[in-house]
Amino acid sequence: MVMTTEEFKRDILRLQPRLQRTAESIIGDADSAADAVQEAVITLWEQRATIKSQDMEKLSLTIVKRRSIDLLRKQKPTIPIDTESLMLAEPPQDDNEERYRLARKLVEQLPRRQRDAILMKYEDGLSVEEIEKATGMSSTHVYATLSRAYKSLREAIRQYKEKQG
Amino acid sequence: MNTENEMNEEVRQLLDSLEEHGKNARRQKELGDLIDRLADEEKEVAMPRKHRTLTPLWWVMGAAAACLLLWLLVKPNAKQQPEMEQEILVEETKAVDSVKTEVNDGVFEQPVANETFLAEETPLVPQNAPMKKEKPKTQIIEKVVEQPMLVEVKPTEPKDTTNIGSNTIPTENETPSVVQKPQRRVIRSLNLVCYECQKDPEFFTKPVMEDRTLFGQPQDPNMKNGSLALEIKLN
Repeated sequence: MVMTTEEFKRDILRLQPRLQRTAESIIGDADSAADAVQEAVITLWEQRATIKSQDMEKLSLTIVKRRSIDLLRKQKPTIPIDTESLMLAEPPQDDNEERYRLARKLVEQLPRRQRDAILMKYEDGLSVEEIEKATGMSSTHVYATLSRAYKSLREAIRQYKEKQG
Repeated sequence: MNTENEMNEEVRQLLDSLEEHGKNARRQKELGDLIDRLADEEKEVAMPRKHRTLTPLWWVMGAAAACLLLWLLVKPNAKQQPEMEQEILVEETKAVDSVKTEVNDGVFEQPVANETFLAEETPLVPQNAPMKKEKPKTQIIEKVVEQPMLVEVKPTEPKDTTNIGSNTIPTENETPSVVQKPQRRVIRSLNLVCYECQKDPEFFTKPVMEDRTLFGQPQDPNMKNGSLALEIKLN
């Protein structure tokens, strides 16, 4: 039975962080890794008629690794590529999730303007000019708010560590 | 100072994790959009393909069916046509009509091939039939018309011209196709007879031109009221 679009999308989005980490561990560049993942998704889409849902993870990892190695070869590296070891290597564990949860928890305790400024700059990836337009603040005010937010976060981390003992 | 640096490093890592999470979220969104776009493209490509493959097939099938129907309609007629024509020809030879001409001495009945009548009764010949096949029909009619007749024509002064007119020249109420063409045949046959008579001067007299017309042309005394009175005698 052919996977529906929704099923395919759900599986891919679930696997995306792992695929991204795998590609990044091979290529070493987040943006190139994202390109490799996209190419792998297109290949998977074309072959989805023959793919079973339970094989999706294994197959997608294999394709992402191959695409990543292909991209690495295109970059013409001076160091020889050990394709076999790269293909057999386990994808790196996701240790970012725990840290992200803590960061999110500490950021939520900040005052509203500082919290908005930090989330816009780091989570949404907006520039200072874009934050100016979004919040209506001047650039000096944005920089000052961000600076105060860093201080508040340091204080929050210290208090968190003290609590943890 | 070390504690300050450690704290700064802790903050940087937390912010990096925030940044990384945000990037991943955006990549996931891009991937979702990519999958949606692939699905849309597949739909757009799949639909016209169906039309492209089905439409010509239907056209070909329709054209083939139309050709088959035409062939089925034409083929039996083509086979039957010679037989039908034979039947018509047989009828033609039998169907000889007569035109009555009332003259001084009595009624003269002249056999004439009912050419027009047959022509109207032969719509059985399909329209697709070639025109060449009508030729034998006309030949047969000529044969029927050219039956030997001996008729003496003497132009005399008519006693009652209306009598002849009513009998020989059909009114509009009568079917013109049935009556008028045989009338033409009669005159034609008379001409033939007159031509024969010219060979033997005993049976032929020229009309005397006594009077002149209003335009100064010599007038045939037998022409009165716009009609030609002829005395026809059987030899």
